[in-house]
Amino acid sequence: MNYLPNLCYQAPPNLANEICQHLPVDETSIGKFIFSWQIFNAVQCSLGVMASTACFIIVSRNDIPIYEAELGSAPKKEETAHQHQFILHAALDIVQDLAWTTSAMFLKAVDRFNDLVVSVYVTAAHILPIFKVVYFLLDGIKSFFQEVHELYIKILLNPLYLPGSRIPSSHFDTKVRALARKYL
Amino acid sequence: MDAATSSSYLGKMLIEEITPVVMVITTPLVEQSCQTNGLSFVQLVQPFCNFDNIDVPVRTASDQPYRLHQFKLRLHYASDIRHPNTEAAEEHLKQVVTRASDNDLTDFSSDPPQLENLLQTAQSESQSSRFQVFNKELIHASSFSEHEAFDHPVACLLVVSSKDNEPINKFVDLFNTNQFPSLLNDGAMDPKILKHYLLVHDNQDGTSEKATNIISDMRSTFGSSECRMICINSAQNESGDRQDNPWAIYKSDAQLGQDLGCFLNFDDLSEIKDLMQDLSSKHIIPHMEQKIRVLNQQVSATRKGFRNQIKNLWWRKGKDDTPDAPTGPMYTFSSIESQIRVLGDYAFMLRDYELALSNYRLLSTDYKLDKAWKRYAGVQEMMGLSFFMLDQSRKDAEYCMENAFSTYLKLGSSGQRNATRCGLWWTEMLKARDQYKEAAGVYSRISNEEPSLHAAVMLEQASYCYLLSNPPLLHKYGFHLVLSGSRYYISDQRKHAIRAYRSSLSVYKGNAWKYINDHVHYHIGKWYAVLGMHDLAIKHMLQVLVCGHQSIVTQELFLRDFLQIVQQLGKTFEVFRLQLPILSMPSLKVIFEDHRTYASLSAVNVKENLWKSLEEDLVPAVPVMRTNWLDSQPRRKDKDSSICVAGVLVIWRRDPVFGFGGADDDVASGYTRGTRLLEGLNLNLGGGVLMREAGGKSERRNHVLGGTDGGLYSTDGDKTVPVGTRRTIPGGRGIVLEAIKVDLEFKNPLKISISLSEVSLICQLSVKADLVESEIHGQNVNDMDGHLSATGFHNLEMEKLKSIWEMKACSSSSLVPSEVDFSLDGLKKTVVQLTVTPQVEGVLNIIGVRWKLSGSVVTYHNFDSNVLKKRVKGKRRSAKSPSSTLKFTVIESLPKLEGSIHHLPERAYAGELRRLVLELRNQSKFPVKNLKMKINDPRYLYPGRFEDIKAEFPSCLEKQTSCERSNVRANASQLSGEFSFPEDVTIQGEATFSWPLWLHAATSGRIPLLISVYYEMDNLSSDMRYRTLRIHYNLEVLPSLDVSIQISRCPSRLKEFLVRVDIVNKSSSESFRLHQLSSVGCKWEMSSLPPNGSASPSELLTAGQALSRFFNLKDCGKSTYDGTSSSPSTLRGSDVSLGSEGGKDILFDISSTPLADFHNYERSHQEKSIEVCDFSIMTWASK
Repeated sequence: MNYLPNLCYQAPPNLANEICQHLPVDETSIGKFIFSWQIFNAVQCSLGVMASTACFIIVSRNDIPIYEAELGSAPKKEETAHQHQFILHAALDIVQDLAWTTSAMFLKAVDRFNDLVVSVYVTAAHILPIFKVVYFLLDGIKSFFQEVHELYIKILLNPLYLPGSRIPSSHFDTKVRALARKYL
Repeated sequence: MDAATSSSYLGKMLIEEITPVVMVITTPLVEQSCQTNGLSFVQLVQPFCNFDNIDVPVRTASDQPYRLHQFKLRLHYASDIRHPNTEAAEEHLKQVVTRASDNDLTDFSSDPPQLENLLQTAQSESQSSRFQVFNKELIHASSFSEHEAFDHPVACLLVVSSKDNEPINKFVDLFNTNQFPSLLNDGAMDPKILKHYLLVHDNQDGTSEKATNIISDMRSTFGSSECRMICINSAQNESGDRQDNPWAIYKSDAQLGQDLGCFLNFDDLSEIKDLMQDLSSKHIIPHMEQKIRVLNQQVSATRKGFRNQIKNLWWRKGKDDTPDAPTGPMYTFSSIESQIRVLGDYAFMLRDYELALSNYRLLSTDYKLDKAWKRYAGVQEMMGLSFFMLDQSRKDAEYCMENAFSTYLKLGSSGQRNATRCGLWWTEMLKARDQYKEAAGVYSRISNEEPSLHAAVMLEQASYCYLLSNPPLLHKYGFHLVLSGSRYYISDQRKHAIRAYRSSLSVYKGNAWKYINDHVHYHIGKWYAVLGMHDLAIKHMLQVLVCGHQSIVTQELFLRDFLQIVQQLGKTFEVFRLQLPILSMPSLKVIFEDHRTYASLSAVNVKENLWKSLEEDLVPAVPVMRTNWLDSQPRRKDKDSSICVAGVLVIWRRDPVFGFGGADDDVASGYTRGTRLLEGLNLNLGGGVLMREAGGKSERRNHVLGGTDGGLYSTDGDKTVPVGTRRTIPGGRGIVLEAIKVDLEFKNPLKISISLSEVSLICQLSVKADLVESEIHGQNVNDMDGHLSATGFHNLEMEKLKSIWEMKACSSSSLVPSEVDFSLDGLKKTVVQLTVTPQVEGVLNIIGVRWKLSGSVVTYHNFDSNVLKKRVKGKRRSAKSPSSTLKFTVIESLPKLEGSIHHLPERAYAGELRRLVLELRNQSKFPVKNLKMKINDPRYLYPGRFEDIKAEFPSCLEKQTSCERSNVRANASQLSGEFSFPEDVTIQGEATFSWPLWLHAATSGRIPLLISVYYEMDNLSSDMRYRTLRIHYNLEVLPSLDVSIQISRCPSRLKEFLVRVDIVNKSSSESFRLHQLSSVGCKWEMSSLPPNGSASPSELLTAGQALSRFFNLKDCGKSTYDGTSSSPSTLRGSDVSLGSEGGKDILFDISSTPLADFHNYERSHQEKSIEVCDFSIMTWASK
């Protein structure tokens, strides 16, 4: 297995990807944006059949990913993991700028790398500074984000969960995947 | 024109790059003359084409006068005036990049730049000459295109040598030959260009008389103003050292070695200078000015004005029908479009940007209507640049550039070079206006279209733009560096690749995006390995080894590559604290034997509390001498922790009181800790708890110690270090030395299996004399600590461990650590037991562990720094430092008993009675005496009498006619489970001693059996008088019979009762045969109902079967029942045989030991104060 950096995307012509990433919170300002989610999604259209891969990442305030999931029906490829991380990580800059200029939680297509598009959902609440990153497609993204947000709040209510740490819950994972199937 | 604009980088670049081209045609003899200087003619003249300080008056088309102060001519051979060959250009660019990497002075071994310094370096990096040179070369790669006029030659310089035959004809020949560039021949530009005739005379070939004649001929033929003559090579010999060599910047390093222009003297140079200045100011500029006027008039006549516009529209419309041929020779030099373009470009070159812009505007609509996209894009590009130079509308400028860029891209490969050039100008434009973020975006767009090498350079520039934007976009910076690095690698520029990746590390350092970190470190490591820098490669590879989140394939790849690099290194690689496998420090468990010895591993695992409570009365109390009330507390703790001798050892645990190392000693080395520990130890034992060693030696040591840590320790001659006696051991040879065992848990974080070999402890055994030295050493280390960085500290620790390891290897006689080899499957944990056996007295310090991964990577891991960190965090002084718990004082060997119980089953049925044998072996040569034993619960286990061991079981329990049984012993000490062996019992050296035990499985369940055997040493030193042997077994007791009894008064007789006994076999498979029911004591007489007793056919109870029997009970005792009195006559009636006829004869005597003893324990356990009647049922297992 060759571990060559496949970052020079010579993307197949009919591959459309969307990506999304996360968001930062300035600690000095009152916690206005506390949750941010980001979404990104890769869609492959071939012969009219839509196969999609999406990477969904929830990012905490310190730019640390606390939840990662590869969603979608396309077969998981070995080399995509670090690509997704790279792209989402790079999109954080844009999100940081953008999050303070708008009151919308859902930021569609904030960043773009080649065919990959990053969408972000910035959660705003006074409770805890957490970001979420999701990777998504089309109209379902927003609903997906909102539902995942609810799930995430449930996780936060768990007294055993330390905000900002990795989300170890397999229940959460299953739920997110189910939602992804529903909306994607 | 704005000063700021023209002083920007782009402004300067445009003034330098978009300048008139002069076509040069020479004869071979001219070149020959020039080559004596190591230069071609163009190279010779080139440095003098740059005029920074001229003053040429110019008039615009509308007669506005202005002056040009700065000007430049570009000289090219006619053969060079063509579109550059793609491959050649590619090759040239590659060389440029390679040269830059060779010149790159980056020190690869230094740490990557810190994030804080990044911004400072970013400015210089982004403007470094590396990028500028590359960008310039990239722009040149697209020059001499037919669709733009500024690369078209403005003038032609014909050069003939005075040596040529018939120079006049030569001039004519030169211009008539077919070697003209295709631009002229194809009609893309006007072949009637300004001509200038130059005669070159080589002074080495003789005087200039002949040349003077020729020049006069030329003047008469071509016109006086168009002809010039220059003399070169006037210097007689190599004048050499010219201070400011004007060619230096034009030539590459390789050629600089020669003395360029060595035959040119000052006159020659000034002559050349004059020539070029005249050429530009007197010929070229006026010529261009003239042409601008002419063209402007022409354009005005045909295109300006309302009428012309209408006409043009009409005419254009008709043209729409023609096929779209953007690249075809649709526009010759005579077409009005080409003329407008020439007009615009000339105006641009003469800095009349207003005129240029208006013409470009006019042209762009035309081209757009004609769908001549390449030309359209070229015009848009120039419009953008004009806007920029005029510093007018930024928006328009950007729009034009964007338009041009995307139009070029639409053209496909033919427009790619131009797109790149346009993009570069665009980025410079954005950078000049501090729009770095946008500039970075443009760089990325350029990189998408370029081959990987160019893309790499573009992306690297993009990354610096992100860094320079406000606020700095660090994430993007890192990402683009990585992108650029991977492309550098694809194009074989490894050094560049490494540089890019290394810079990106500063962004990704310490962040939780694991895949990113793995990718970056892995590739840096790999590339370093390719460059042969293996140590650096390994440093980076180490970062990716622990990659549990990666897939199996990737993990294998990482590990394989890592091991490969280690192999290439050519020696075993040593690393400190490799996290593969992970050593779980909380699992660290030290097993040693002091006065407590263990018979088996299971005994070790029993909690110390249980043993302690068991042995409470068994062992003699440690005499605590209180000197004052302050002493009492620590001393008591000492009792728990510090007395231990193991064949050879004493362990000292650090008492909380002595955890005085604050934050300052967190960095302290193990030596220092050792020193402090000893101080603590001295204080602890100050009262003479253990043995006292007199003499000056200890006093001296105290002095040293006191010096190291003044206030805490008072120098007191009385306090001694309790090491073993100095006496030589009689018969010391052959004594089994007792090992210290350390249990460690290794966890494999990977999904693949790894193999470990030579896993072994690193220990240090200091003989007492060494102690002082090591303390002093420790102090020295301590002094240095303040200046050590974290890495330095690690290195130091590693060095220390290594030296200790090697020292041990040299003196292998004093220590014998075990070595273990094993392999760990993916994600598995394994507990490994490592042992070390000290051979001489002294202080043994277990410092760490060492293992070899896959046979090539040696890892040293010390035990204490985890705790060190904890201390820093929590300031918890009470946390015991492992370094202190792992310090042992080794003393001389002592006897040790080993023990086991024979015949103990793992499983028993409730109520089962067995005879066991306790066997004790003395492994040493010394006898032990004063044996005592204590058992945790005598209900289950009870020591018998020595005779029992020989008796036959179970027949010894049968009722004997003689009825001579001793009384039941039941005294207090037996109830508590303590048992003293007879006083005369001693176990001689290497002897075995057996003693019977009775086991009675009183209740069902899992029963732990704890036995502690206490013994004393006879003739040895007094620091350890006794030891205990701890034996532990687990017994699983299964349920057997469940018996319930109902007693009711007999309705007919006053002193008789009816007894109903219900018996259920609760066992799962076993069958039982009932044998006998007995009433304990002599008060009751029992008989079965019906009286003959043979009525029961079912004395065999199979599993699950229930049975009821009835008995008659008669109170026969008028005498008071005292529980222990017994007489054979009264006992007789208390037993009823339940068995078959054959078994009727044999009845068991329930008043014999051990039955009666167990009965007593049972009673005392249930604590029923009034016991009227006890029954015993004897059964036989069916088998």
